Amino acid sequence: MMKRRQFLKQTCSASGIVAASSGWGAEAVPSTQLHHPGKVKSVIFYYCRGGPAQGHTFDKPKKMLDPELHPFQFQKSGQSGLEISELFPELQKVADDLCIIRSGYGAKATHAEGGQHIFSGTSALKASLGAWLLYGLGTGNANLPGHVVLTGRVPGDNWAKSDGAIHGGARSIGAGGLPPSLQAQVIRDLKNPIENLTSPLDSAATQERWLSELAELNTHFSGRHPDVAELNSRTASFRTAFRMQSAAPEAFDLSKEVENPSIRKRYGLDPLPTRSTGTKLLLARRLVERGVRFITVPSMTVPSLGGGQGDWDTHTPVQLRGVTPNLCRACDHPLAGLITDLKERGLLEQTLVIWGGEMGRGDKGFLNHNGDGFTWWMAGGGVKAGTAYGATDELGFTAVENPVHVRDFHATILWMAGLDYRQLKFKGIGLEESCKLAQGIIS
Amino acid sequence: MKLIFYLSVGACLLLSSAIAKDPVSFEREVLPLLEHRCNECHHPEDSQGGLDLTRVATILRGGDDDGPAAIPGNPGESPLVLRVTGETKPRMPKKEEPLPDHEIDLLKRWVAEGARDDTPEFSQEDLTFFEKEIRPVLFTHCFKCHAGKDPESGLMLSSRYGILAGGNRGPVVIPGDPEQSFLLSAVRHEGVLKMPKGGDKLSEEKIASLEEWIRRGLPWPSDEKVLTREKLFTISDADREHWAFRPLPTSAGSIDTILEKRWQAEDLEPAPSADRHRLLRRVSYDLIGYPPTPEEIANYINDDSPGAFEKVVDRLLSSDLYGTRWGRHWLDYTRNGANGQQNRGPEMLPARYAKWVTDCFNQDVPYDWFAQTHLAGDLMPGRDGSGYSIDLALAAAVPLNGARTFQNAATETFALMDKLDEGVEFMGRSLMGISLECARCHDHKFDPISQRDYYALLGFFQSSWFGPVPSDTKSPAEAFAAVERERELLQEKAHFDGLIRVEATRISSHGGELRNRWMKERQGFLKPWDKRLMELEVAVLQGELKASADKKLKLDIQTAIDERELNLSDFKQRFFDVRSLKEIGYQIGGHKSEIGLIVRSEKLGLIDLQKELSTWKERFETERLEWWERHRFGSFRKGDPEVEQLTKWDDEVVKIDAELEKLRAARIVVRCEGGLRRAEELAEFAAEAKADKRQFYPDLVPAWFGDARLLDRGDVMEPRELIPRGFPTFFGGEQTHIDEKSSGRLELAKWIITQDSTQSALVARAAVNRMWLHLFGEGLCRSPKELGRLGEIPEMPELIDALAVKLIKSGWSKKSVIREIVISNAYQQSAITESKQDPANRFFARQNVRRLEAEPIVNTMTWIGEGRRDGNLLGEVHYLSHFDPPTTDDLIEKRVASIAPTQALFLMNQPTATQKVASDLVRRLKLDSLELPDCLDVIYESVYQRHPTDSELTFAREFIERRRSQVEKSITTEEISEFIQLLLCSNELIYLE
Repeated sequence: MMKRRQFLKQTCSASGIVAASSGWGAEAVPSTQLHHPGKVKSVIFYYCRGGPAQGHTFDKPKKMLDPELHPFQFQKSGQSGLEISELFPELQKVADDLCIIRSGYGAKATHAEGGQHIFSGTSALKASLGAWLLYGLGTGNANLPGHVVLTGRVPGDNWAKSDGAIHGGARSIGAGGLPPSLQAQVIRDLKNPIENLTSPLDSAATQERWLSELAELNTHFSGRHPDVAELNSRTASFRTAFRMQSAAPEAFDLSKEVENPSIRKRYGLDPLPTRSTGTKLLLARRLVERGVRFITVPSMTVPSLGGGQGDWDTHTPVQLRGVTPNLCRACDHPLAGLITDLKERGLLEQTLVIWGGEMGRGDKGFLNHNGDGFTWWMAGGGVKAGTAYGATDELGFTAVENPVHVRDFHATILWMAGLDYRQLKFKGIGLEESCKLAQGIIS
Repeated sequence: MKLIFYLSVGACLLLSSAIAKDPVSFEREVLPLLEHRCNECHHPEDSQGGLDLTRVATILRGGDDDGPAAIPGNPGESPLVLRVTGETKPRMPKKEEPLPDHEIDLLKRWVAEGARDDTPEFSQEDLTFFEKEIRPVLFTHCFKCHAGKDPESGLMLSSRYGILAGGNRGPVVIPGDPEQSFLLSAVRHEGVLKMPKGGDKLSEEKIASLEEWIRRGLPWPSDEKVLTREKLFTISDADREHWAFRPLPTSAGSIDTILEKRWQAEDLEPAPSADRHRLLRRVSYDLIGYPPTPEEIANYINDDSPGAFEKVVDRLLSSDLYGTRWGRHWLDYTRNGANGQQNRGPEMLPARYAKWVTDCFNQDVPYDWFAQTHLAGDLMPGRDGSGYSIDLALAAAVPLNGARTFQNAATETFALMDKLDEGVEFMGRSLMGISLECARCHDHKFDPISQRDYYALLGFFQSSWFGPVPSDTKSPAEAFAAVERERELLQEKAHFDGLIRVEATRISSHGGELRNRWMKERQGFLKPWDKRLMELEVAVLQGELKASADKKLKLDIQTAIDERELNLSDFKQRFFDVRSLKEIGYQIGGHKSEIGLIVRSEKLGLIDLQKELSTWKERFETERLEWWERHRFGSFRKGDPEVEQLTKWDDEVVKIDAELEKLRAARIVVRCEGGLRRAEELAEFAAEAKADKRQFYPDLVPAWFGDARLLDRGDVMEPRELIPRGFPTFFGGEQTHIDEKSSGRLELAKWIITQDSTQSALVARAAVNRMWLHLFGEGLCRSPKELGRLGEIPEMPELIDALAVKLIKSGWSKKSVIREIVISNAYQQSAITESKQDPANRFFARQNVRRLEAEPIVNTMTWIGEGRRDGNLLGEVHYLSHFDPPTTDDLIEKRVASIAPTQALFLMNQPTATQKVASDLVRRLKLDSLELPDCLDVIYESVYQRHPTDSELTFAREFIERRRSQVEKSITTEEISEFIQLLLCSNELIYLE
């Protein structure tokens, strides 16, 4: 059996939880050994809460039993001719950057469990994909969180009806059995993303001295327990916190960005329906530039055209006609803007943008929850752009061609980041053995 | 898995049809196809239409209708072919997808080639050998996993063709060549794969038989191609011998003797005893969640009598704070005693439940009774002799309080099933320490719990739900009657509402024409109202624009104003209906997080505007009520001559509402008898409701009692046979008599603590293991929610057993076992160790350094700052949230202790955190009036509950003097305060050693 000290040493150096053992950052950027060269350095996941209907968005059904349930047209888009719903006019323009995976399966068809499963169901550790990625790649910026969920509405947005949330709650974005510090930090207030950044001490120098004093005080205790690694980690976390005081406001400060009219336009910061989503995706881009590994932007509840409100959980014809167009409106323009922006900045190669929900829709009742078939798309990060991978059956309910299981998605995403799902392990536990790579989506 | 299996079968078939040269094999190609597509209905035990398609002979004989199913050489006239192509109706297989072309081709070719049987013939001797030596081995050791439609790893061992086809890892047997057969190396445990997985290793004789069988070429009976079409649940000796499933010993040795024996065997040197200050601090936190007071420290330090520590322990155990601390641990296993707020269920008074739990721990009620209340408290008499107790009924609702939503539980079977599943999960994980819920979809892969066992247990929960009972209920029967009365009233109400709805639509002519006309006319009437409202909104916005200093915010407000002014310049009113009128009410008056225009104008000091808005709010509300009325009465108003009948009905509804309201005011929602109906039985009630013209509410049908159906793969869309309520086979499996009008939970509660039973041993083991966890930072078994075979194997099961025996013998007194652990030498050891052995401390030869949980951290701060030790956490939510508070989502196994810079930011920078606590302490103890050495001593005693060492004193003096020299003052409280703050941020404060 491995000795604990040896174990801590190993896991720390392999995991990016170095001294501070923290997803927020660490004392030094670790020299992580990738298992193979990988392109993805960061992931931006636009999560569609409620399970979007593939048949209304990116997977045109070959056969429609009830035209009432399929009011939206699809158009062949870009050079690649990918068929995309009319609800995404802007994404249609960047179709050649997308890799649409139409054969997702293995999701759980209830919301809470589905959310937990789609994000964290691939290992007995129940760690979220973001936690695994951060664990595997290590921090990209010692002064910032490595795993973030962006929620909230910008001031003045009275259009969106919620801040955005992830089904399954903390467990969906948690660290599971991985070190707890790898869990996502949820940003709730876009105006004040991280609290308590103002020190009562008068200067940085004073604070530096204070930190050394704290470290010295702590040696009285840790000296008694040299083998307890957490103690030093905790002391170090104060130093990380100190550095965050200056790094975090800079990272989250959008004031310069929003002065630029082309940025405002690109992310849709002026029209109400795209204002909050655009802001969050712009923030996500800033965080990616600063080395943050995994950023989830959950969709918000939106008003329905017919009164009321809703999210992607569209069960009835009334919901789908009223809510789906607005849900698409909220993310279409900002996502297309994000892809274009990342591309122009040369970041798209290393950033994987994902769109998808916790399940698909279809099967009995046609708009019901469906775990046997769902669609995600990805852009950047070395995916095969301008392609559609896999297919569902005639009615678009069940993945039949090149099926990609939820766990295969995780394995493939990690693979693209240079991490081998067979080798990535914590305390000897890794991803499920049955993971397969969806080779066909990697360019 | 299913998919993979079919794919491999499919691929196999594709491959074989591609190579057209070889003749088609009945055994390897046709039979698997028939088994996959047809033989669920056409096998010897269930030969529908008299047809058995498992053998060539019976195929040639045929069934009742078509005569011979295959005519050799003539596929065009063979019913087998004609039925699958659909040329003869009905097409086969019934209710399934038609066969794909390549499969039909295969059948055609086989018939065309003469419908030959290529199954080898075996001698009588071979067959006898199979019956005597092989069949029992397969049944006892293999069919738990490798049988049925979805065999483990794609390998089906229940048929010869399945064995020949192999599994996902490839072929497993080369007939005639045992040494090349993977099957043999797996049962010999030669390679990575050791079979049977989790079961008993086969005896040498059995392995030799398998070897012989392969050598003989896999003899198989010709008349029984498939031995079983389902997986067979079996219990192995390894199950019976698992540490947590063994019977408890009859007597128990002392904790220290057991440990010392193991330390000797492992050659471990135990740590010395902790010093008195640190020991007192540890035991104080562990038992009451607070540090000791200066008086308590002094009393203990100065007490030289031999029983000094026991005195401390007894004092702590009799403190009311003990119940708060240990009750909190219990709440962790109950999903925080959460209520339905987050999952849109009924409010089940979590605070009252928590208070009751605290009292139970303080009174040290027998744990077996306490555990029972969580299954059937609503059916048990109160401890005070009363016939019924609301508190117990609340405890019984705990299994329902999981994270899964209550929403649609009545209408959507899967929502209900998930909710009930949480009940089984709670019973398994929290009371017994095993994962019963794993058997929902299939037999438990590791523990001896079958899928049938799961549904036998589920029936108890399915026959129960929740409901409102009067707070002065005297008996379970009264509670039941109250719940039924409420359902009746709601039913009646639904009846009248239904009548009104149908009649109103009729009156309104042509499905609502009058109503629509009224609504349309009213739009025009409301136009000036709507416009005025928007003008008022602009006025409020303009006020806010003026008052705002933030540049970005100003921009946003201006945009909003522009949008509205644009609209006003060519005013288009919004479309009104009942709902939009309600939303206007929110817009003016506010709702939940939405701040209304009235409050916004009030904040700006715009009194006139506020007044006008208030009148508009009233007007719109009156309007909304009228709309609602017109809608309900088919465009008329209540009391109009046209709606005389409707008015009468509505009066009935008003009466019912009044009674309901009266009842509800005095009612509390608790666990109750009588569940919701199984989905497939709802149809008749739905039809009845339809005939009665009323809305159908599945949760309002009379209370239902009955067994649960087994769900194939746990899927509510695939119900199978009814499983009588009862207890798992492994635990004796006895059926129990359950009254017709009873859920049987009372029997379940009695069963779980049956004396000397495997299940009550588990309940005791799970409980003592958790006590150890809370006193050492780790359980003796480190997977406290999973003592079964999937969990971690403890190093010292004999210690768990000893503690479990002690618990039972003490009359299930938790306090007495906690006391025994705490006064053991093991507990009192120091956490410091020179030894480098056993780094993970699996043998507890020392104490652990462990971080305090969120609540004791908050307690510490309130104690230091305010000198208060009352267990009150109110107003400290902020603190809690930073230090891993318990979640309501899950049954907590062990609290996590994260380290995050956000914690550091909070402690350093948040003014109400350490800054406030430090200055409070200075004020409270008047530290500014003390000389420095005394002052430091008091500080150390208050914060760390010990005296400072010399080097710490030097450090403290330097710290303070450094600051004084800077500000050139001799003494201020600020430096003292700053020093305390440093201590409050230190590791020693929140780590126990």
